[in-house]
Amino acid sequence: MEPLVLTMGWLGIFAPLTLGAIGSMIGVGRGGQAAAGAMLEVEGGYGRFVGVAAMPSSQTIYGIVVMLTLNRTVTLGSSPGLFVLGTLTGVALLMSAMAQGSACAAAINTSKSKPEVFGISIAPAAVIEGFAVFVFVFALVLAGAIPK
Amino acid sequence: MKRRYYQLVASLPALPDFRQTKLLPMSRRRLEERLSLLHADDLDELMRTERLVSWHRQPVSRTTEQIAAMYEEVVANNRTPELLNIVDFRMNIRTLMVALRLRRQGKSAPPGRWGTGPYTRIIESRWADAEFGLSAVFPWIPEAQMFLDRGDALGLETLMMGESWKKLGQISDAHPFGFEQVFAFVYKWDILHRWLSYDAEQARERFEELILEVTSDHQNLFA
Repeated sequence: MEPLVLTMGWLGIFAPLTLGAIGSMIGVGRGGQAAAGAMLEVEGGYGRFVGVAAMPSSQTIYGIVVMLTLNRTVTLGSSPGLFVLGTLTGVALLMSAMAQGSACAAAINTSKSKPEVFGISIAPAAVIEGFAVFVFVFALVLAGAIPK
Repeated sequence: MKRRYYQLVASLPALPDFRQTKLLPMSRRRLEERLSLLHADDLDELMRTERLVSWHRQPVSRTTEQIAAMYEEVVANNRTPELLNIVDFRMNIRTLMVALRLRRQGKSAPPGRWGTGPYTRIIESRWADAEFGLSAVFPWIPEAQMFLDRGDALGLETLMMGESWKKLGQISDAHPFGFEQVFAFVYKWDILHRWLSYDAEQARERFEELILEVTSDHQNLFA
């Protein structure tokens, strides 16, 4: 039983980065494909499409910071907290990056035909980013309560 | 896992309402180039389905049985329920148009197969009803009847295209970046292409065809 509990603790430490990175890969992949498609239709302004497509990268950065904050000696006392906080943060970052990728793809698709709505079209993606930031900040706050 | 076509959808131009534009935003050749981004299975399904529902004039020599066989082939090989929804929508329109024309000529439902889809039997059983008892499902029937009575073939065609356009817009919005959205684009492009092909010379010929359709007694689904 003890090795299992300790394994869960390690899983919790690395989950925010792993799941956040997987989410970023999927999200940037979606946005990137849409950006590549839009470039076939427009004559300029390619850079902003690529910029929007890269938005879901931030979840990986949040994952790195949470992982470093959670990183400590894994004991029977700290493992449950590390597992719960780490995996839930990781899942939230994964889902937010995927959703943000879809929102970015939609924004790119819309703004290629109607450039004047570019700013407002990325607002939904920015709101999704806000939810990821909530998870990130409160993961850091709660990490302080896990025994060292 | 459902396939998503982010690159393909983003590479397609926005289609303006067919009643408010003079230009086709994309040639068929360019469209087919873009469609090469589809998975082979989806491309096959799209082509098979498009052959059946395309707004382009179908050969008049094609019999109802042949059309029904094509419909059954599409249904049997269908992997996308929403696509079947579009096919049924189009076939229902055709079936209803046949029924409205026949009834206008004082005829009853012909024996044997004369339409496709789940509403054929309902239409037969409610033949005397002004809207075949289907006003809740097809609220455009009275308007179509009015155009038929007036012999306004172009108005009738515009109404049918408009109903299809609206339905395709709904399906497209419900499946962002999905195969359904790609199909809806291709079908809307087909409607737009058809609409814009009505230039002065062609329009006259087409108008004569439409008048013939409204007044003729042939019963084929594609008539």
